[in-house]
Amino acid sequence: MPGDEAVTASEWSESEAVARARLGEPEALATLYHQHGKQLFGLAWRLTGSRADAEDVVQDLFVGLPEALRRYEDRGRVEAWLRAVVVRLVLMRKRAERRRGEVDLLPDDARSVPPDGGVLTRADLDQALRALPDAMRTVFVLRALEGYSHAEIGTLLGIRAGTSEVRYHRAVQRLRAALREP
Amino acid sequence: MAHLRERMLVRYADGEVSERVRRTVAEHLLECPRCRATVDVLGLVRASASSPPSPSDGLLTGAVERRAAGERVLLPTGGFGFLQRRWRIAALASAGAAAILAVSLVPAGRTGSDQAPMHEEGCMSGTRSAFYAIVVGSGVACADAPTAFELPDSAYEPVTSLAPDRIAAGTYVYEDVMWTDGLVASPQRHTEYTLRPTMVEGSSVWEVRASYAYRFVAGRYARTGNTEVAWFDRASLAPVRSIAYAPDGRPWIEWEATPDSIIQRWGPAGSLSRRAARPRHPGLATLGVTGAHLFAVLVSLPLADGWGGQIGALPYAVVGQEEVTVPAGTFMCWRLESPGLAEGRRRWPAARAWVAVERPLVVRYEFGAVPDRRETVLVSFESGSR
Repeated sequence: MPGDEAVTASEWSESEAVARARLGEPEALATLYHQHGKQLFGLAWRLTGSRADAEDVVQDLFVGLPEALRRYEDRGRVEAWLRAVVVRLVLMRKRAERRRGEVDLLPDDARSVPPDGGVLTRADLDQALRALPDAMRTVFVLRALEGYSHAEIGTLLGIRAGTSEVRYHRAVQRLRAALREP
Repeated sequence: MAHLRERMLVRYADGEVSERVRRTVAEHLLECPRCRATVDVLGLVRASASSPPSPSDGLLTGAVERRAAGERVLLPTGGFGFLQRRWRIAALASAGAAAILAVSLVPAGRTGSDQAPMHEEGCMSGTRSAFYAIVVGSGVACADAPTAFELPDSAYEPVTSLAPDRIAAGTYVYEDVMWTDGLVASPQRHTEYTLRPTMVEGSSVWEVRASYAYRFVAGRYARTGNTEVAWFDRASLAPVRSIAYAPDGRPWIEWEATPDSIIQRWGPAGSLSRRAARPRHPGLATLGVTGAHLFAVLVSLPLADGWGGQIGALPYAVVGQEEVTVPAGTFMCWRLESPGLAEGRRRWPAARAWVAVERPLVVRYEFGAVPDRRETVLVSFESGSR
């Protein structure tokens, strides 16, 4: 279970948890969080590159979930639906940040080229991913790490599948340059 | 050596090519380090990308506490393209459908009286819950309702008459919330402006130091954002210079006003600099710490019934006086309205400002309309230099 929580999960099935969560029952929310919270947080973390932002997104998701679930048609695909909501929440936050004129305050080395010919570390890769522009990183993460097709990404982001593919290719180019491959 | 097309290599790495093409590409990769690099980078990222950390303890508890405090977040549940959805929401809002949304947001088994209280007069309260209630419950009926008024001709004339002596040194704390798209608010933001007179290169200027912090009702997060310092001329209120700092104190973005332009430097060693036209009139939000600069212009205006003038790009007009209650207190205010402006491809949304009649204070400021809107309210102020 992701983290210790004061609210405890119950042994409900997913469908029952969804039905009860629609009524705002904390135990039902805890059950859904128990089942999907870690994966949703992981997705938000990869998209935002920030633990704090990912936690904000997931918490916002669960604050708004009961009302949102009333618009959800239960077809046994709760996780896919939740993941789509997380992606949209992340995009909306990014848009709001841009409009406020805020900038990501990354450490110096996150904006420069990593290693001097040495061994690539996970930190190098994480930094290279974080340094991608938001639009590219979102598509790259969804395609390369989360396994969405370009058509699905297009639907999710409101862009054409071809646009998704172009952003993906550009992301790969940038990553290659950032990681200083020959 | 000829190289394979990048698109082909990426599809190969993603396993999206036929067996015949796969074999051809594989043979090429044996001899071509450059093409191999493209394929390797995908494999490398997939194999080595860090596993996400675990979320913090109490994340869900915080969500439950926020709900218990009456907070609601309208989630972007989709069914429409992301951008399409924006327009749909906007259309709903303009049709007065916000009331319907309000009903749908009241949880089953609870009554509206459980929700955070709302001020009827000013539609403003100091809690985030109330912010939600305002925008969802009465966003159209209250401050967002387009006010029927005609701008006087003078509203399109740049402001030339200012009383900059009205500006008072001191510390001003504001709180603002922004809604975007599906009415989801950003975290509530506190901004503290400290304003003091000083000298820069022989010129008398106002110096503004701004610090930002975000907070949630449950109080679990308190994340400090950027800090900024800016200077603008004491007599003309024209912008001079501004620097935004990272939390560790490094200058991050710098703006400098030259006689004909604004230079913005940012990125590693200022490598991503750009130059923009200098604002022609005071108050144009260009130099960072924009709230403080704009607010200084607003309190310097010779406001009266029938007043109109152009501040920055926007035409404003006084539409009357209102008593406004904000966390800092209750003030009789001049209400200024601007219908916004469309100039070529650029759009400025409508804006509203409430400037205290008796004191040089901007008590409340709104920018935009449902579904994208920012509201700023005065939380406290303390006159004099610290």
